[in-house]
Amino acid sequence: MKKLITIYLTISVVCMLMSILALQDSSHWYAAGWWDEQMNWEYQTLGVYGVNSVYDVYVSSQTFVAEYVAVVFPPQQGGQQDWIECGWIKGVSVVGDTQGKIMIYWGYKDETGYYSSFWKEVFEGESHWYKIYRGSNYWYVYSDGVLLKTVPLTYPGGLVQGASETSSDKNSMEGHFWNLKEKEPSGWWLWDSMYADADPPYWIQIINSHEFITGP
Amino acid sequence: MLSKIHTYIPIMVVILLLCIVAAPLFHHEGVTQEPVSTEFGIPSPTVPPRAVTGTPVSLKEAQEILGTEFPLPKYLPKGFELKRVLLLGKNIVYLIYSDKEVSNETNLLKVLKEGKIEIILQKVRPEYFPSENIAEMLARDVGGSVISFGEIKAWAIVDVRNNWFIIKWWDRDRLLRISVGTDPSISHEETVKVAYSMMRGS
Repeated sequence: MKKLITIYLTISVVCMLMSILALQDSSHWYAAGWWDEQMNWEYQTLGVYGVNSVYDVYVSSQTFVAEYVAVVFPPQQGGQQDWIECGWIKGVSVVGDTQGKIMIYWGYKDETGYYSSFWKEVFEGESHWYKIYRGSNYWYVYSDGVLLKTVPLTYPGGLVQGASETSSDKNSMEGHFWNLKEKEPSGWWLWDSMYADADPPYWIQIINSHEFITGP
Repeated sequence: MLSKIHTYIPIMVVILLLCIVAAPLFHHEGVTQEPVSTEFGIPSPTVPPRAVTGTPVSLKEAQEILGTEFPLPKYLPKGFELKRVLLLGKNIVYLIYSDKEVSNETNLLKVLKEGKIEIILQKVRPEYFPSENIAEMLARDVGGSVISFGEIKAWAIVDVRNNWFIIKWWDRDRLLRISVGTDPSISHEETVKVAYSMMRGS
């Protein structure tokens, strides 16, 4: 009987903890800017380029702050949506053993799951650039002139954006993105318009059509 | 038995403490040097979730807006019929089939959870087409397999996120990227039949 009670209690507590972890995953806050042209909203943009500043943001336990550019692909069967992103990230639950370091990373999601990797540690006050674009058969992910990842091409184009993101509304999310560009068959062009949106308590302010800041 | 419950309280406390200490073990490292799946409920960067709204249209309207006569399946499993036609922008059409009713939802990320057979047709500029061997390349680099339908080579894969079976190919003649997907209740053989019935000469 004693053994049964112990097993029962163990299972109960583990289930409770797993439930808490699952809840954490559904909480994300964003402050993001999108190139605001029909071509982009129709998922026909061929790439995104952007520079951002590194901030040593406050990140509470088991959460993260990430600031990145991304290409998002149109919805797929079953309501799935894929993307590729590249930027910097700080956070315990995501960076694992990096002890709160700020790292440049890339990530993507496809039919086989979510993949991501660090590249290098970066520091407050620095600025770094990121570029994601498609070639004939692959999407290429660059940062600071270094090819970080090639992703096999399954979509002709995508929706491009820059974003600050966090998994807790207790974190700080200072961000500054500029020189945002989009790629078309004719080449790279500065964003000539921008649509911006943020989840309170975070905010976004458009500086010009290809530059924005986020906070607090 | 109940009167002795207090003797178990220390055990409960120890178990609770052990679970708290062990909790980080459940935290899969979402950013590692090698690609890994992070399906353990761990927060990881996503992208801002936008409501991607599709415009309900008739088949005729969709054909007119896309500017091409896109193929429709000549074969469907028994009892299935076209329930919704939604347009995203002016170049992507979603055809949602089911043997049950489907809601009037226009948020594509939601309504696409309701269908059982879903076909996505995307008009693509000629310069956006990948090389001819894209299906083989995807099977090699991503996984899945190549299915040959005569001259057309399609890429087929089971989507691990929801277990849908999806067949994708590029139709250079019609300037379309075509994707046929079925939910797990439909056999892969049936999916292949649906896809094949959309191809020229089928």
